[in-house]
Amino acid sequence: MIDHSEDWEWCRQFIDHHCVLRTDRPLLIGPDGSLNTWQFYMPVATLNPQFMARIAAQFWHRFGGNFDTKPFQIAGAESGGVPVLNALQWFARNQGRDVNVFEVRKKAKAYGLKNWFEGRVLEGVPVMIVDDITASMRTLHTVAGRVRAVKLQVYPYAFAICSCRSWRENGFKVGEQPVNVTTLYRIDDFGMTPGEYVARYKQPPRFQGATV
Amino acid sequence: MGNDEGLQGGDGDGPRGLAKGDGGGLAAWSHAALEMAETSVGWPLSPAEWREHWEWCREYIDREVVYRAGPREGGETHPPIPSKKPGGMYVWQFYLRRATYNSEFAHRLGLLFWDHFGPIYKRAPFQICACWPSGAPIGMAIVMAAYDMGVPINLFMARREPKHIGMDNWFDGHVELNLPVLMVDDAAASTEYMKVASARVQAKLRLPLHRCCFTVVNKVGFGFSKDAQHTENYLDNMLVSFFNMNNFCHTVRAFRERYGEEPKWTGIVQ
Repeated sequence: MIDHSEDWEWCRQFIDHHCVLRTDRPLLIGPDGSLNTWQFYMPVATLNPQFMARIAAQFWHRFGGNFDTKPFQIAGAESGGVPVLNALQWFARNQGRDVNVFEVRKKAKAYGLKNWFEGRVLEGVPVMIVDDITASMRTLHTVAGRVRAVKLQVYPYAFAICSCRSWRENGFKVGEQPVNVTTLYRIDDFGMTPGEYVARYKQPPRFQGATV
Repeated sequence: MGNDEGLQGGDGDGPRGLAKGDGGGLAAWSHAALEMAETSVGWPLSPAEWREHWEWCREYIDREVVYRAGPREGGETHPPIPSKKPGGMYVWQFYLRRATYNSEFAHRLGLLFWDHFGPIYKRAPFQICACWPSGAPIGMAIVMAAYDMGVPINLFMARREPKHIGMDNWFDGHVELNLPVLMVDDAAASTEYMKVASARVQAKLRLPLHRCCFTVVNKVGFGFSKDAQHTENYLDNMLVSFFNMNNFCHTVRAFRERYGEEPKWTGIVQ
């Protein structure tokens, strides 16, 4: 039995050190227009192959057996889910698994085929939804609804690297079908304020994302 | 911005809002890593290997990426599709993410990229800026191929519009302060996303561009005006592309003549 606890902790620290922008006062605009003192910037991690290798190892440890029994394809939400798709597919290939991936757009292309999906979509293969981060699961739910709208089967599990809430496991329904959402991390795994971070690591935060 | 009151920058933020990262260390490590990669992973490619990967990717694009309007045997007709310009129609269009989201294509693309750019990177390391959204899978293929070879390289993304939350940033990911930027996108064509992203890299990040930029396809060739390829207007970058329009069949008839069958995409199109 492979133990991925080292991978889990390495990635946890990577996110905590480099992917959370913290402010002493509420200066960061939230999705609902509120001002916050913290913001996740997951592309700092998802564009890093060392990070994604460890995430992919944990993902395929969890879902590889399922895939080998009954293959699924993976759909990612534009745009945060895209590097996650690519990395999961890449490391699956290294393990001898050929997994199809595609991207679900936020809105249909305005011209051409006016497509909702980018990449090939395989008929008759269940679709697992993935994203980099989730809060209310709204994006996962929207993507699942889009997949279901074209008569594809939504896989009963969805995956995100991180939850912005205090849960790692949750779920939603698309139509009557339940979808269990698994994340590797929840907000409690990180020091979300400058004070919490300093108390944990005895040094100031080292956010590594571009802020321009 | 990085020194503004209230922002926790750790030990890295400069006036451009960039984290210090490990720029100098990355460059030094890259040289040693590349030397190891050269001897340990059979890179660069032999001419036969290069040709095999290139031809596989070419045919995959020709079969799975190009939409061609026109009648098919059996009575089906694929109609022209609306163009970007209102009122116009396309009889031919690329859908390159049908390739870049294919694991075999991404793998081979990564090998071809490093076969070309490995010696260049060894002489002078750079970082990758891929243009959202089409450049993302290409950027990932490049860095993951590098990962498999043990070569560290940084990737960040240029957005088409600023993020509407947080810091309203134009770039996603980590940006190395000290490395020139190689711009990457799927196709060099009429839409000026790469040119605009290049301008932002220089103006906002104050980083120099690499002398090269990279796209999978350069949309020039017989029957395609160079006016439709905006990177021809770049002042001092050399575009590196693996394919141009002469590599693909432009019509259904040309496809039939080449492959002896009707063009037909796999999968469903939605």
